[in-house]
Amino acid sequence: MTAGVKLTGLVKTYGEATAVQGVDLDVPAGDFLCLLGPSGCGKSTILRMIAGLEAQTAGRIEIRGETVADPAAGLFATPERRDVGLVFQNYALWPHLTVARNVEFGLRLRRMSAAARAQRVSEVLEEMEIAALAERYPGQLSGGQQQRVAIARTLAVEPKVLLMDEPLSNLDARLRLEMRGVLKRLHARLGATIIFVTHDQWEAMTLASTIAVMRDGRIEQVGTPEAIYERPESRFVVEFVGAPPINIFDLAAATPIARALAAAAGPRVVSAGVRPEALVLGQPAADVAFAAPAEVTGVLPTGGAWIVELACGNDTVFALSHNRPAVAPGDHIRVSAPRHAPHLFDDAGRTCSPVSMSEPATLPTPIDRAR
Amino acid sequence: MSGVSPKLLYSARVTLAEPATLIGIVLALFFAYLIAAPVLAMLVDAVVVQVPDARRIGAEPGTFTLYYLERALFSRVADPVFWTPLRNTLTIAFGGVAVALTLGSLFAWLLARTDMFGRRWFASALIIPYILPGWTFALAWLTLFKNRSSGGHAGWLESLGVSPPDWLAYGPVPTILILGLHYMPFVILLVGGALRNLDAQLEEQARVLGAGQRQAALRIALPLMRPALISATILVFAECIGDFGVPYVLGLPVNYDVLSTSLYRAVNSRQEGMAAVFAAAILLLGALSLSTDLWLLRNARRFATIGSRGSIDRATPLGALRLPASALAGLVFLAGVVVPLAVLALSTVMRVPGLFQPANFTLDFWVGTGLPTMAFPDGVLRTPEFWDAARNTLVIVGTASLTAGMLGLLVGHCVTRTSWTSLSGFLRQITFLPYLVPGVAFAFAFLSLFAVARGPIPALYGTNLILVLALIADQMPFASRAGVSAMMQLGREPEEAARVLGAGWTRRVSRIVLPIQRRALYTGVLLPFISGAKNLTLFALLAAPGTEVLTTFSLRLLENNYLQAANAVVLVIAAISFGGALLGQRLLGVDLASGFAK
Ligand SMILES: Nc1ncnc2c1ncn2[C@@H]1O[C@H](COP(=O)(O)OP(=O)(O)O)[C@@H](O)[C@H]1O
Ligand SMILES: [Mg+2]
Repeated sequence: MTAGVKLTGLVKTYGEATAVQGVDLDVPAGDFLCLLGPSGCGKSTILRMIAGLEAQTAGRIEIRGETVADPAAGLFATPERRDVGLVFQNYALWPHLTVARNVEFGLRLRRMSAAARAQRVSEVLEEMEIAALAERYPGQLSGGQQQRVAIARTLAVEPKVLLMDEPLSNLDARLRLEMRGVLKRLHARLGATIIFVTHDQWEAMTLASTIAVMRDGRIEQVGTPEAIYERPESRFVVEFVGAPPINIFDLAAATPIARALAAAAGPRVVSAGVRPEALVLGQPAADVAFAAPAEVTGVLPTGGAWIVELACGNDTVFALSHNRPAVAPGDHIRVSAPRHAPHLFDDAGRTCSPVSMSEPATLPTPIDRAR
Repeated sequence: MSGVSPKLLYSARVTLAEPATLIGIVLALFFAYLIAAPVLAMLVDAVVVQVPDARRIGAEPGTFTLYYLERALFSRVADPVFWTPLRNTLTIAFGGVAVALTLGSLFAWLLARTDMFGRRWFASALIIPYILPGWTFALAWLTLFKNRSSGGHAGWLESLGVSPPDWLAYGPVPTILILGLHYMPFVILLVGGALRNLDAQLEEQARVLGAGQRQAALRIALPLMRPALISATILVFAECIGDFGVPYVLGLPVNYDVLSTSLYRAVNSRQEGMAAVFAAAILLLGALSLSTDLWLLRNARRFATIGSRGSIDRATPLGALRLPASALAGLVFLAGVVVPLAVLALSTVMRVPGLFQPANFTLDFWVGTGLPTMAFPDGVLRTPEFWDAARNTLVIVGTASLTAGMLGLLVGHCVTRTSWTSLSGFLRQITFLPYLVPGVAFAFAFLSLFAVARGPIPALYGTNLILVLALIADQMPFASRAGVSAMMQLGREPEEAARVLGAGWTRRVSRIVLPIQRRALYTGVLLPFISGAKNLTLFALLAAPGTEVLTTFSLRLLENNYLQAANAVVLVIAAISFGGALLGQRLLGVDLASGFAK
C-alpha cells in the first residue's frame, strides 16, 4: 500500500516574514516529487511542516488521505504520529550509537523482537551496501557512507512517505551520481511516495517523476521534467532550469535580436528567452524566429560540448553545441533560432502562448560572412 | 469540541506537541520563585518594620518604614554602621582587583606569549589558588601572623619571637593580598585566552604596517585586550564585594567590618531590617559593576568579534629575564598554594604553634582524645560532628550539583527547542540573575524568603532543603550557560530525527540527548560540586546547627579559637575541592578552565 501527500493553501510565517505563502500541491501515491528552487524559497519549511516539525500558520496537510494538520479544524498530529521518513541534509546521525544501533532505533520503538530487528537491520544495511560498517560509529564514516546510513535508518521502518532535504548536497560529484542511481532504484522497488528537496536542477531532472518549481514561498509550476523544460510557464522557471542558462532578450532594447523578436511578437510580450542549445550558428533554417549577424567572442569547451559566446549588437548570447563548432573568436557568423524556439513572456514574467508569435523576421545583414 | 475555537485548539496542540515549551514554563515559574522572589523579599525587608523593632519604631510589624535606611545612611551611628563598612568594602575590592589584575595579566602574558621556563606546568599550577577555598589562605595567614592582641594561641612568628603588627596580621592588607591571589587565576584565564586569540592579528598588523613592537602593543594589542581586561576587572570586583570568608576571618580580631561581615553579624543578632539594607547595598554594588561591564563592552564587543586565524604559538624570547620570570611564577605558586597548605597542614600536628621541636608534634588534633580544648576534646577524625558535617556536605552539595547540572541541561533544552522566544529569553535571564547578586546578599535574600512560612511553603530554615535550593540557585548561571551552549552545539536535528521515527519526549531525552551530552553533564555537575564544597558564604548564613556542613563547622571552630581543628577541617575541604577537580580532569575529561568563564 502506498500513500500520497496533499497540501492545500499552506502558509508559514515567522513573525513578519513569510516563508511559505499559499502552497497547493497534490503528490499522488508512489510519485517521486522534487521540490526545486533557489535557496531560501521555503523548500525545507514545507518538508518540515509535512513531517510535523514546524506548525503551519494556515492551510491543510493530508497524508494518506488523512488530515494531519489543519488550523481551521484545530488538528495537529505530532511528528511522532505521522509515520513519515525524513532524511536530513546533514544526516543527523547519532554520534553515540553504532551504525547498526542507529538503524535499529526506529525498530525498537516499534517493539519488534530482537531477532526480527537484527534481521531487518542487516537487510537494510545490505540494501544500502554498508553491511561491513555495522559496528562503526558515525564519526568513523565518510560523507557518502553517512548518507547511506541516514537513508538506511529511515528505510528500516518502511515509511510510506519519504521526505529528503537536499540529501546529496554535501557529497562530491561522483558520489552524487552514484546516490542518484541508488535512490532511483529504491523508489522503483519500494513504490513509496518520495518528496525530495533540491536546489540543483540537474538532480531534479534526473530523479523526479514530477517537479514542483518554487519561488519565494510559492509554487511556480508543477509538471513532469519534460514539461518543465519544454513548456515553462514563467520566465523564472525557464531561467532556473537549463544549463547553461537561457538567453533572455528585453524586447524594448534596440539590439538586432530584440528588434526581430519584437517585430514578430504580440503586444503583450516584453521579453523572450532562447535556450543556448536551440540557437543555430551559420546558415539559418527555413522557418526562423530570428536570424542576426553576430561576432564570435569566445569558444568554451566543457568536455563533450562547447559553449560559444557571441556578441550581437549589445547582446551577449551563449550558444551550446554538441559538435565541435567550426568557428573561432573574431569570426562573423549568423545566429538564428527556429520559429518555435523562443519562450515569450509578458510584463509579469508569465509565458505568453506561442500563438502571439507572428511572421518570421530576417534582417538584412551587410557584413554577413556566414559559412 | 464545541465551544473551543479551532485556532485555539490548534495552538494548544502545537504547543503540547513539543513538551520543551511546557517544561520551560514550569522551569520559569520555579526559577522565578527560587531566584527572583528571594531578591524581592529581601529588598522589601529593608523598608518594612521587622518584628523585633516594632516597639522601638512604634509601628506594626510589616508596615512601611524608612527607619532602617535612615539609620544606615543618615543617623548618628550611620558612619560606624554603614559608611565605614562601605568604605572598607570598596577598599578591599579595589585592592583585590589591583593585585589580581597586576599579577594575573603579567602571568597571562608570560604564559601565553613568552618562552619562560616551565610554561606548561605553571599554566596549570597557577590556577590552583582558585580551586582552593579563599579563606584557606586567610586561616593560613592567621596561623602565621596572628599576634597576642587576639585570643587563643599566638601565630608562628609570635612564637619565634617576632611580633607582627596588627596592620600586617589583620584587616585590609592581608585581605587584599589574599583576595588578589585567590582571584588571580580568573584574570590569567580571561586575559590569557584573549591574548592567545590575538596573536595572529597582532603579528600581521605589526609586520604589514612596519610598526615597532612597542607601538603595536600600545596601539593594537591594548585596545583589543580591553574587553578581556574590563571583564576580568569587574568580575573580580563583584566577587570581592560578595566575599564573606576572607574579610571575616581576618577582620574579626580588629573589628574591620565590610558590608558582608556586617550583614552576617546583623543576621546573627536578629537585625533583619539592617541586614536587608546591607544586602541591598551589596546587591546595588554588584549590579552596578556588572552593568558597567555590559555598558563598557557594548562597543568593544563589536570589534572583538573579528575572528583571528588559529593562534600562532609565537613566543617572545625573554633572554636574561627567562629565569627571573619563572622564579617569580614559582614564588607566587609558593605563596598561593604551597605555603598556605603546608602551614595549615603543619599547624594541625603541632601542639604549640610555631614551636619546631619533636616533642611538640602530635597527631592528637586529628585522631587524639582528651584534648585540652574544652568543648572539643577529641581529634577531628574522632568527632562525630565532623563526620556529620562531612556527610551533610556530600549529601547537600552532591544533590545540589547533580540537580543544577540536570536543570542546566534542561534549561538549555527548553531555551533551544521552544518556539516561544520570550520564554527562552526569560529562562536565560532569570538563571543568570544570581550572578549579578553577590553571594552574601543572595544568601540573605534566601533567608528573607524562606525563613518563615509563606503560603503553602513551610519555613525552610534549619532544613537541608534550603541549602540545596540556595546552592542550586547560586550555580544556575554556570549550569544553564553550559547547558545552553551544549544544546546549541548539538543542534536540533538529532532529536528531530528521533521524533520522526516515533520517539516521544522522554525517549528522546534519555536515549539521544543525555548520552550525547554526557561530557557536558559531567562538567555541569562537577564544577558546581567543587564550588559548592568550598562555599562558605551561602552556608554561613543559611546553615543551622542541625544542618552543619564542613565549611560552617570549621568556621565555628575558628570562632571558638580552636585553630588547629579549624585548619584540619579546612584541609579536608581543600582536599575535596582539589581531588574533585583532579578526578574530573583525569577521569571524565572535564575542562576546568570552562568553569571560569561562568
Ligand atoms: N525558524 C525560522 N525563523 C525565521 N525565519 C525562518 C526560520 N526558518 C526559515 N526561515 C526563513 O524562511 C525562508 C525559507 O527557508 P527554508 O525553507 O529553509 O528555505 P530553503 O530550504 O528553500 O533554502 C527563508 O527566508 C528563511 O530565512
Ligand atoms: Mg533548505
